Amino acid sequence: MTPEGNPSNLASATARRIYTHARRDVLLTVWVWSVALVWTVGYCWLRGYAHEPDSLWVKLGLARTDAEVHPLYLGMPNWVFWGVFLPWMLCSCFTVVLSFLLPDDPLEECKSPGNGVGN
Amino acid sequence: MLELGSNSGQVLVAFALYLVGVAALGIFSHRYLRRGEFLQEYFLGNRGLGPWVLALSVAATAISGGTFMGFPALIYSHGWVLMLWIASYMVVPLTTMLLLGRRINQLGRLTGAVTVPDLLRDRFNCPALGITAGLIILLFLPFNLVAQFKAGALVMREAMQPRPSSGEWLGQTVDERQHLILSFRLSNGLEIKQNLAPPVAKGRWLLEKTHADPQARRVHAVWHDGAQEHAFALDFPAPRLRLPGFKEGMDAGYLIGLIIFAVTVVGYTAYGGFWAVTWTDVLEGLVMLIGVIVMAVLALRAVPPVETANGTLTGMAAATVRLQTLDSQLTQGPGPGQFLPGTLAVSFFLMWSLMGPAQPSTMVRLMSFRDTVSWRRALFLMAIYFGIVYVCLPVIFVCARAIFPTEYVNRIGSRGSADSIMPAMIRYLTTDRPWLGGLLLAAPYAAIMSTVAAYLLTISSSLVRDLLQRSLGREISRGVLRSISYTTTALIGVVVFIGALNPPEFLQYIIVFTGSGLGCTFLVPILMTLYWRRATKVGVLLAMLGGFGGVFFWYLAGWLEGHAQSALKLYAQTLAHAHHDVGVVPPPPLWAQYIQTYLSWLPGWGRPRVDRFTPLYPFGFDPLVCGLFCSIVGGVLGSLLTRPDPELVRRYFPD
Repeated sequence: MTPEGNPSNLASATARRIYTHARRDVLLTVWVWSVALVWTVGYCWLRGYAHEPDSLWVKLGLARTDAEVHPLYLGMPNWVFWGVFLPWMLCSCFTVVLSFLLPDDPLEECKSPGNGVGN
Repeated sequence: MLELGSNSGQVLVAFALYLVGVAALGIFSHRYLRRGEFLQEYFLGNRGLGPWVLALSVAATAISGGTFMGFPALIYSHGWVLMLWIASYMVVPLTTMLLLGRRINQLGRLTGAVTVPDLLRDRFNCPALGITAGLIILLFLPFNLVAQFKAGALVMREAMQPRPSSGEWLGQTVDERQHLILSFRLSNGLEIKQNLAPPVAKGRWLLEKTHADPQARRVHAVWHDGAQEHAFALDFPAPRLRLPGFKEGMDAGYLIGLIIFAVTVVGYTAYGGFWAVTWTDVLEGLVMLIGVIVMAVLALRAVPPVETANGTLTGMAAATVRLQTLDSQLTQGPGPGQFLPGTLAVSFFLMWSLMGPAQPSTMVRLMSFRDTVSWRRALFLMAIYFGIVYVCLPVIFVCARAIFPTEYVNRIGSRGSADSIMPAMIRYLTTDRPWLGGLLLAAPYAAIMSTVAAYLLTISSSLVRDLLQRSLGREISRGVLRSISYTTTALIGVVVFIGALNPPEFLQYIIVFTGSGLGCTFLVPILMTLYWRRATKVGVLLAMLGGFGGVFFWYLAGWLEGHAQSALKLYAQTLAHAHHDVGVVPPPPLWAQYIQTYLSWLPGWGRPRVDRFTPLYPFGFDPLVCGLFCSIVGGVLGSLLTRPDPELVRRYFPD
């Protein structure tokens, strides 16, 4: 029997592949989550909240002394559109595309060694 | 006993149709239980969830009474800032499905685990882990269930719209807070007092102009805002039943609503198990989706147009402009009453995106999908689903605030509580189509049912599987297990029903408490269990206890502070009265003074909070930030200071 044909080697190769894919899933999630957090909370805090005129953010031109409500987009305050609605739509599109690109694994091949599953 | 409102017949027929569908799915699922191993089937569906069932089941479990009752109340009260509050749902499909999905399903199959405590116990071969996890689940979830039962009963009451009670108006008075106190004697002899704050802070009730109309069962009051007088109509009290232990009786509509809710949801969960819960989740998920879309369209059309220099604004734009005119804080952060400062915005981003996936009920679903094709399709469906639901809800309730600019929602059918804005808005939008109102009311009801069913099953699985079967360490026959499982699920339902007879007042905060408590208890331990070879049982146990303690401590401190402040305030009032009246000075509440003296150094102590159930916010952050920090520190230190079992690492991690 070739090494590839050995059932335990096959199981090990499958397990390794699933584990590698799962770790890649985690890295991807952490990356998207971090970008979404910085964009959403950062933008909304800078543009959707009123800041003191002498605050560093206002001096740097990143924040304003009043919230950026107008012009409205789709009837939403300006900061809601750019800070929440747009990243939400982008995230949804990304997730939809990703759902077609993720690799499949034979999870059903993973079997319990029979350690006490109930009746 | 209970006179129903004029349109309630059609509402209830439409509502009943939905309940029949749910019951049918429960019965159908029971037939499925005859296959295969009972516990695998009853609590896990034999790892056979397809894409639609997985996606809608995870979504319907995440969307609860809080989403459909508490969240709308917050949007109505605080405006657009709630979009930021809820924003992290944009990544929830990823954090739910990708962060854990593939690996937890693999490990679940390798260990043969049926529940999350099962998984922890088997991965580390440590019964203490399973028992601790089971006990923590048992501690948190009943709180949540009581709140959900209350929400379910409120929706049912709104569907019935009982007429106010007949009876006699005894008179009125005003207390020292300028609240109007109305006294009634109902037809069954119960004497009830109703308390009404002035509609604006400096408002004053004009007692001499208050009168009752017994035919219409309504009291007409008049209040003065300093410039002019305003009329205010208030219904007689809702019909009440005499019950032992309830001095003022019990709201009959609420009790009947609670009974109907409990019988249906406990019935189909206990009878049909996991399959009943997940299949009804599909029905409930679809009802919710259609419900919010129809409501959003109706709400946008119902907003009165606004004339501006550039033309007439309608729909969403008109609603936003109306909110800005009403209170500029409704269209910007942090919202009225400093609702969402930057630190809490960060906290809530963590809350929804990380706590949801770490709920045991969600993880069990991830352990039970059939294959990765189903999992990928479920990811696709969830992204679309959450996008629609969570964008529609703010639209509906920003419109609600524009349509009803005051906080007084009794005029549109509810009893004046912001938590009832969802059913009240449905009744308003479908005044001329009551059958549609019934179908739309099924949406929040569905949200509550799906969550309750999932949690009931999580609790009974913890009891039956984690604490009874695994801890006894011996085989129990299929027949006995079956009887124990049915009985336990039903018994928990009964216990929660009793708790919901006298429920806590606030819904959303209880849900946030249990969500963050369970999330912090399980997120880090599960990530360590799945991905870190170096993790040990001591590390995972410390991570679990650290997460639990880190959240619980700040809630406990918040409750202590709230009660101590109330006691001291009451004492100060009593002291003032004693001084004026007879000069007898009562002893001060020593426990409250001790608490105030010895705990006031805690960060967040003494800061204004929305209500007494809210926790302390250390340095402005939600307790979950502390919980996650403690969990990570405990997990890493505990693991590095001990050694993992090489045999277990070899078994569950590839070379």
